[in-house]
Amino acid sequence: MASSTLRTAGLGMQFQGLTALADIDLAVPAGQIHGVIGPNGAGKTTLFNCVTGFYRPTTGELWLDDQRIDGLAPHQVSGLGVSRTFQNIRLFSTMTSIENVLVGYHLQAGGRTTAGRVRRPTGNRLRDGLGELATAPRSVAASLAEIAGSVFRTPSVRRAEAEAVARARELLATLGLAGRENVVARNLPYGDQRRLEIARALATSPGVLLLDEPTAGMNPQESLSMVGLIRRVRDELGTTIVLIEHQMRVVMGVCEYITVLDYGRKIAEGTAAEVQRDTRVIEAYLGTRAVSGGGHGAA
Amino acid sequence: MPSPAARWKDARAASWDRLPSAARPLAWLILSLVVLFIPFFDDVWMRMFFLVALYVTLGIGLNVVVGLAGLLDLGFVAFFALGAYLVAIFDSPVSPAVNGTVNYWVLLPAAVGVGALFGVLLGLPVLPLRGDYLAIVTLGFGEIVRILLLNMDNITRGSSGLYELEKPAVAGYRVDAVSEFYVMIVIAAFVAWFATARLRDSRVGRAWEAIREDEDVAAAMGINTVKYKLMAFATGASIGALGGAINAPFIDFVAPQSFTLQVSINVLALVIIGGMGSTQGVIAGALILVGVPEVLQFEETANLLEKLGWLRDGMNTAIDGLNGLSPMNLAKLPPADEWGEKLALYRFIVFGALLVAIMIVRPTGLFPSRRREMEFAQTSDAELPAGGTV
Repeated sequence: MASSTLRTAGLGMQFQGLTALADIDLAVPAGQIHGVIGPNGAGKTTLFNCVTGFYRPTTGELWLDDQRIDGLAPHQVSGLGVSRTFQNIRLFSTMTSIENVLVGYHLQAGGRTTAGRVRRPTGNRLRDGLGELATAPRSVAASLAEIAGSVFRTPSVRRAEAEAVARARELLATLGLAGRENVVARNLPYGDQRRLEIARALATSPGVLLLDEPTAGMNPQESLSMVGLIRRVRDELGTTIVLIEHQMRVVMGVCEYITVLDYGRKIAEGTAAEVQRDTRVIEAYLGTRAVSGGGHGAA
Repeated sequence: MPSPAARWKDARAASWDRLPSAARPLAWLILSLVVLFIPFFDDVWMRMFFLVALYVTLGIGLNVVVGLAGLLDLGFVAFFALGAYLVAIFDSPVSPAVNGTVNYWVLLPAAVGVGALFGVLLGLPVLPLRGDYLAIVTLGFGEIVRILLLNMDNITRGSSGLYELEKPAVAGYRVDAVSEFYVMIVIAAFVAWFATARLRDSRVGRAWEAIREDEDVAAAMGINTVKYKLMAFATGASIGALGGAINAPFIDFVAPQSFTLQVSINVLALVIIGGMGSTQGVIAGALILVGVPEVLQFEETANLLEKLGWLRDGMNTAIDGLNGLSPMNLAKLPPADEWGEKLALYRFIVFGALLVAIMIVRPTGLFPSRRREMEFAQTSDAELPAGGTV
């Protein structure tokens, strides 16, 4: 499966007067497990929201492989191969496990339409509007074809659907959710919900997977199995993984490279061992009264 | 009784593995027998059944927008009006804009297409809006369309309306009788049901459901939310226009005063009373919301009530007793042969009480889709403790 590099250059995000992110330079090579840590309010989730198109960064650039992706809509970013999970689990709670994953397969099941390059908005509204207008007939035709295909269940639609269901089952089994296909998401145990969210994200066959606190609310044992899962995803699928994490045990155990944010700025980066020794990091987490041997405590 | 979650799970398992349901063919048989025998009622009853089937069609259309995609649309009447006017403008001899008539069977699909187009046109400006805001804007759209129709004298003849429409013809035979229009609308309802049921179970329906549950996450999963919302609006609107195009030659008088907010509210109410997202619900809702007020003023109902003289005597005796025991002075009931007349007069009070009762007893509607039922269910049986284990 795909593996992409993710790069940000001078990325900044301002909400009116508030600077949530400033001048973030990040380079995640393909296939790396990259940790983003920092105290509460450091801007970690804001960074994810910028990368996935939920926010439009106010300054700087975002690159996925050799394509610039800042300014694209979330579904376009997803189509290019960036997927994510959420800090507070956001499953489609009344849909079953397999339906959740099938939503992730949405683009594949319909013949990926946004593959390749996506035109970025230029900022000139008139030009963007005209550009969209030019593609309108094609997307109207595509929508009509899709509705007709669904209503008459053409052989190709049926085949695509059967294939998506088979692949969704397989993916659920890979993540240890076999036998839970038809359980409604909200009735799943907490740990399974986290895994289902990862399954749904993987269904979009991402080159970069962003995990927002995948072990939040888990006990040490569950965290450990989550770490194993994350590593397996990278090893088996080659997916580049960026994860936000608070549990230092997890960060130190799984991340090959770590970026530390505080007050919206990058204050340190390096391997786990390097970051652990960095005085600025210790200061940010524990205050100026530095504590020796910090590392196992969460913020 | 198994929990809703368990029943839901079973149902989904069945649908995924394509297990045949034994009860289904029987249910279909009964339903089709009822539908087929209805044309033997007299015209008063037929008119009621036509109205019910018309509202079933409209309800199925609105269900796509409200029940599946979760977009609250209070301007649905606009599309109903659009379909009706498209047919009337081209098929009415009094139409000021068009001379001669166009074949009805050309206009019918055209109405569906134009309905879809206007669904998209309404959808485009309201897309960024959610919930209450969307409801208000669509409500405004419905009113704008009605007022436009009222004022475009040179095309619609304003409140004088368009009439004497060319009746649809099949191989030289003109569709005229109430029962024949009933057959037409039942076919339309069936087509609408079939198309929306197929859409619901497809990739499109899943995208709609995802958008309804969490629009942001749906987008993060690669769903072009703009496109799918427009598709929902267009699908609903084209079904609304289809209903309007069949209703026009039937009522044979197309004027703005038939397309008030009340129609939108009625359609929405029957979707909610029946249970959002389910077709049985729409049918039940239409029978109650459209059928009951009609039936309450039928002669048959009055005749039935006349036979209740014994009940009146009994109750009057009871009232006498009460009056004797207390300082109260309750009035006695009128003779039973006046009951029908009174009921027809006060039918909306009876009807309102019925609606309130239904919503108290079944807040999710009569036949909610299993998914909707879950959304309303308490989370007590869901294992969702923050930080829970297993």
